[in-house]
Amino acid sequence: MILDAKIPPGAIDKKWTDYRFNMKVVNPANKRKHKIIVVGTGLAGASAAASLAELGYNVHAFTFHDSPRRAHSIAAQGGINATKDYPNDGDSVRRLFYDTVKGGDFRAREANVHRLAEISNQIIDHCTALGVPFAREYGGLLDNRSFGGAQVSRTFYARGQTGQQLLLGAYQSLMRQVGAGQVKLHTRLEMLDLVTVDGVARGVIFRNLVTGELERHEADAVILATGGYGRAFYLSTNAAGSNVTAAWRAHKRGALFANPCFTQIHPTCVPVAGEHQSKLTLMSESLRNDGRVWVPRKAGDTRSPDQIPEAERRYFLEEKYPSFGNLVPRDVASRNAKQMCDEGLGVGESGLSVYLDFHDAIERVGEGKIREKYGNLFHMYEKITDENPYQVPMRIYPAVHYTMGGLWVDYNLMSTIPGLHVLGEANFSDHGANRLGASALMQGLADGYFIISQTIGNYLVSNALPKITTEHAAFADAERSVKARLDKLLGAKGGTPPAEFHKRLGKILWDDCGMARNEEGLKHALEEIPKIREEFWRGVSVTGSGQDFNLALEEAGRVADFLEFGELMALDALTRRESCGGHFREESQTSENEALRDDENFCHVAAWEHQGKNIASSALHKEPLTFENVHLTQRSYK
Amino acid sequence: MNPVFQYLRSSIGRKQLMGLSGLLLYGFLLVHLFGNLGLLSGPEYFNGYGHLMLHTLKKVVIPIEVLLLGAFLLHLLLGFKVTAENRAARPDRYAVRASKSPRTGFGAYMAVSGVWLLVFILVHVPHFRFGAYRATPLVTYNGVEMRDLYAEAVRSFANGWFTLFYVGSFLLLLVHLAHGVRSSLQSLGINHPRWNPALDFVSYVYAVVICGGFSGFAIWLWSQGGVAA
Amino acid sequence: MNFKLRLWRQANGNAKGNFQEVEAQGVSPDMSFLEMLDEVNNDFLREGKDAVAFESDCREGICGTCSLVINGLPHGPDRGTTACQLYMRKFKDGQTITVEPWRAKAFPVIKDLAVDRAAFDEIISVGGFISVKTGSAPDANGLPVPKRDADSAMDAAACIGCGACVAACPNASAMLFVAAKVSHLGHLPQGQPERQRRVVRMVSKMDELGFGNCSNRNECEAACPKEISVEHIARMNRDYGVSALLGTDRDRSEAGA
Repeated sequence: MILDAKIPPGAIDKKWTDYRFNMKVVNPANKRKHKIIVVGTGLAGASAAASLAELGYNVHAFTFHDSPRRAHSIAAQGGINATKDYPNDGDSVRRLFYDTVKGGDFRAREANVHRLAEISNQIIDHCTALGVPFAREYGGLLDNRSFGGAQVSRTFYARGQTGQQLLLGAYQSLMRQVGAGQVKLHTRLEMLDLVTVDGVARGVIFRNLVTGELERHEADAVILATGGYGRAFYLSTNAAGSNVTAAWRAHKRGALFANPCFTQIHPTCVPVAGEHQSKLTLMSESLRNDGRVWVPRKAGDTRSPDQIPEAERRYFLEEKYPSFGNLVPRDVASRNAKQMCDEGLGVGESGLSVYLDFHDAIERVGEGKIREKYGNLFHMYEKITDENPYQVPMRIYPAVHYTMGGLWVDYNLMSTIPGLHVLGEANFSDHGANRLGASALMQGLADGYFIISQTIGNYLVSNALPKITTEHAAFADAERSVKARLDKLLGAKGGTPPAEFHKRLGKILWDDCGMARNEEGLKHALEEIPKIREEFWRGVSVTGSGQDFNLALEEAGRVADFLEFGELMALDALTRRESCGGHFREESQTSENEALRDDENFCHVAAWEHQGKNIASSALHKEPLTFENVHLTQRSYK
Repeated sequence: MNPVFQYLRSSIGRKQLMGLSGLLLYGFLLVHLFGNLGLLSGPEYFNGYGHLMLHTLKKVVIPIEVLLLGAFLLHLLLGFKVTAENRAARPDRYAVRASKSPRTGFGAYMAVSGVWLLVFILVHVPHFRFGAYRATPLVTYNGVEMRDLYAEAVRSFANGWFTLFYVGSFLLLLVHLAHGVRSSLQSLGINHPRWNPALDFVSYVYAVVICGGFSGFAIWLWSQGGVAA
Repeated sequence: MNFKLRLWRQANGNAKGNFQEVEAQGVSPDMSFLEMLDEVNNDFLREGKDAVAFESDCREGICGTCSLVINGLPHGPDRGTTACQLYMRKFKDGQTITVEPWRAKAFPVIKDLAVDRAAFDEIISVGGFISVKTGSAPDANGLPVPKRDADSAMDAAACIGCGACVAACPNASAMLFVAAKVSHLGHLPQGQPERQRRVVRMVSKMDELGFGNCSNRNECEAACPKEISVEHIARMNRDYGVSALLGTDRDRSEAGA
């Protein structure tokens, strides 16, 4: 298979403009005749559904939540980037483009990233008009801050709840269209299979989570905006319900999965408290602006932190990276914390955390100033840990936070299955091997508001789409396989809750396919995961009925998919024998233990094709990446 | 639907009418309390005041009374309707009842206190306004014959049960006002963080003054032991 | 720690419910309330019993999915907290804890502790937005917004739509939820063109859906995990009175919608 990204010709800054002119457009009167299914109502899904409905398409939006507003986009804290250059500090489309390509460690497509940077300003304009209460200065104009180590202040924010406010903006636009009858909203419906007719995506099989009924929905195009797969690790900052099922089902129907091993691990999370823990909580990385990261110099030092004198503390980031210090990028900070804990220097009961100490900052600027800046984060930390970070150092540990990999899409955001479009975190497109802060929200909204609304028309006009109904045999086939799988889950009469298998999978992925990976560990993971999978199908306990609101059944189905997907993730990590961004292969590092890329052999997107039952035999297809505008360089933060 | 009807049928519209009628009645209570001060000036003054209001100025007073009656009936009817709707909005009760709000203390008894006040008014108004079950003879001052409201009050409050009924009702009035005054203002949209503490203070003081004032007169009259001062 | 739990079990919206008593043993004080319930459910599954249905998602207090009335209080005894952020160390060892669903006619029970809050979406769909088509917006700095207005709008916009206000209200009224949206959009200049129409339509829809009336008991504010003030309700009352009685932009054909 040749992966054609369909990147338009021409200069990088003209591609999108020219392409928009060259695309075919749908006659306004014909738009309502095209039915489009949008699965997922987060930033990307809600914005896409709203925009397409405004254009006049017949949109059906689906979410497995009780309301579109629950999507996990809502939890994003920090902000959203744009190149407005309001602060007059030299920002430009070109600079955001450059930062994003470099930050992604040269594993993203230049054309996509440039388009993202171009659209960034339109997003801010649109969201402001929708009533998103971005932070403002006293003069009434928008405030910006520097975020995630960027050298310009280009981040717009709404307190610590930017994701929430952007999502609510998109949700409200969506609900406006629901009220106007342009969107039919289906809540509590979970996508369990994609229906393809003659190789073209034409529908979806959903399970009604309240009644258990299977529903068939047909359409001219299907859009997946179903988020990332960070929950494969069990413990992550993702929501309890976040899952890979929709994307994985599409993968099994022929959509290629790109770079599944590219996962982002966020350095400043509240550490794990015990086996019972169901999720991890992220704290904004802005904490590293004032907190100093350290561990005791001696392994097994059990003294309380205030009893450890200055000379016996190891400020490992400051020592190793004198110029960036505590502000090194996410992947570097995370990896070093892990390294300290691996050396037995970790603190806390589990030994799996490092100190983030505000003592010096409080002495320098006073507790009041620190409270003003981080009060809500300190409050949240205290709520969770019962420790007062004004008095004792915080303890932090990295946690899985975002997944850069996803279903492969071309410049039109269409997957390798014609008609199946993938938006937001669910696709692989713009962040390469490492995502910069405040750019996930930007990408989700760019995809939904501004890109798919243009490119889908071109698809609908350019392809003859014969009329079909849900009586088509392909729907019956898909429904039969979904039903068989549900029956199999309900029929498993083991005694083990699904969460236990999920935890085991998570531990293996975290240990072998987490912050640092090596051949031995990945091979171990590839051996273990199929075993857990087999035990799962023999030993899982799913009580209750299929004709009911059955959370155990929902969970078991999602875990079953993670158990398959996890293997592909490890396989991809094993195959990519280089380090880049969040993917750190221990075999490929510089003499100073930094990630060492291998551009000669791995400057490509690794897209995996499902081959029957066996995940280990998935076929690898490579989309070569070329860098004409940003030159390949080694990242350095010394 | 006509927008005004729609307003009158809406939850907020009705709450605002409830609040407005409430405020009107609260205002009347203050006027009534001032009138009662006449008791301190002796029978001739007090009876004269009563006669002035109920006869001499009746062209002015009766329309006001009609207005107050209307406000009262509206307040009452809306109260019943809103309460019934509120019950219907929560068909299943919680097994455990708890509260985090400081305002619930008084607010929880609006319906109970309201119904009691209805009973009180059904006793009080026929008695003192219309002279039902009158037992005192008329008096004549300067050739004008009038009801001896003063003596009627003294005689009635000499009965300990009667006084207890009144004072008890005033305590329930306190409960009703303690929530009602601020609640009315809130329904009408009066709420500002800078002024809320002052509004709270004034409305509580108002409730205490009204309740304390009326109760004070009742207890004072009772303490006279049925002998006109 | 050990607890005696009384969990509300109800097969579906039409069935009669009752309490099931369960012992939760060996609970860590560092568990969140939901993690404690996870363990209870895992035990149910090990024993082949039906797990208790309760909803949650983000587990960091922002998605608004979790919805438990704990000992009579929505989201439990702490202020400004969702059930997912409530830790077991806040309870006394050996305590009996009663867990009930949100109870309101407008939020029918789906199963056990899970309820249907679609009524909130319906209210938003009639007016909880600013009508702007994608692509038509002017430059974001074209319209200055006083910082105090932006801040007040943000205070109201912090609502997570969990429904604790309805659950806590003695009358199951949705005033705080509706007011939060009316006030968020009403504080901004962008929200002015639709201000009158918005409040009238949202309040009509709220009334139609079977929520109770506000009696200013402020239970909503006390239960709100985002501590949204009833000041926004007063603001909505003002807006509604003015818009309904004096409003000029009301489309009569839609007035009853």
